[in-house]
Amino acid sequence: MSRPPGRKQENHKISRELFVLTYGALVAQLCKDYEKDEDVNICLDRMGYGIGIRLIDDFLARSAVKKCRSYSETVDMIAQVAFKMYLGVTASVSCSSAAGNEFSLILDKNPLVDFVEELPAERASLCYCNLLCGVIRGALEMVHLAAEVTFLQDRLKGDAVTEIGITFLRKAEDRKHRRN
Amino acid sequence: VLRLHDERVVVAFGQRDGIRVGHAVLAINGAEVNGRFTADGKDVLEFLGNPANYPVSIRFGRHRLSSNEKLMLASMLFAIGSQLSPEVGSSGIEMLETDTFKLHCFQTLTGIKFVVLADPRQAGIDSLLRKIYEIYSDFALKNPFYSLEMPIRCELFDQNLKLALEVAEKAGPFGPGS
Repeated sequence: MSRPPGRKQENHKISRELFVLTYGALVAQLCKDYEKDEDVNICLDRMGYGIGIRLIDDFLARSAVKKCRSYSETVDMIAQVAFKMYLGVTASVSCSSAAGNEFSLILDKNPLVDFVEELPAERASLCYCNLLCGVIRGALEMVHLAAEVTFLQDRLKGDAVTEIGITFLRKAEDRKHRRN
Repeated sequence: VLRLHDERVVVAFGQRDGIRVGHAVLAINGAEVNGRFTADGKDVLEFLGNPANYPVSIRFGRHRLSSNEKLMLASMLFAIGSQLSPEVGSSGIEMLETDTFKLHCFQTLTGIKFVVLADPRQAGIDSLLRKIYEIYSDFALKNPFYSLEMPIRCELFDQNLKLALEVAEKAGPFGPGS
């Protein structure tokens, strides 16, 4: 074999511009394919889900993190480690419910929208980065955490910040523990 | 002394010349047998019991497990492992040691289990397991035509896996050939 064993992939980075352009092209095409914003959002979420269920193993394999023992540890992991690894930014976390299962990720910088200032008038309810929500949802599901992930606030829509809300639903593992 | 076991003809007694107890009849006169029947549909034990068919050449060897059998045995192993645990929430079998081999298992947080059977003296299996996890997440998961939970038929996965195994074998204290 000509390649040395244990080659690292770090030196094979693709340009961020290409990624942002690709994402933009994806959203633009979906807007042509679907009239309603809601349909585009659902499509983006579904695509993101398909990515998330595969990305999670890449994340776990490369970061070698230990199992998270609580919802808040999990969300911290997403905001600090995963976002950093894949988007190059970190998000800040806040817990927004007494029950301890609703969290918010505040994104200060979002590379996906670097070149988008605001949504066109006819696409006012488009969640441009809805792919991210799907990714998070898919990834969580593969580690047996069911969650709803949506955009609560979006700078593109004129809000002050971009905020992703994660609401953990009943854990599938609870049933397993009761059997023991 | 041959007997029928699990739809195969196996050696029950009378070890000699490298033929061990438990070895199955793999071929008769050069033609591979199909379970308890010869290639042309005759019952193996009947055929071998009939002196009119002598001289006969029989090939013996270890029966190779089919993929299905492997899956069944693996899932039995893990079901037993998690139920036997005296502690609640045990992660499952990590290592099983016998005199002839060591079984190493690595379980991911997503529930995937990687199992490696190796020589008991072979070192470096832990890092091999982690490397296999990386290879899986690269060449299986990132292949859009691979469906999750299906058998992995990806050329790149096989190639890189083979490479990782070669590296691990060389790194072990007893070199290749385990």
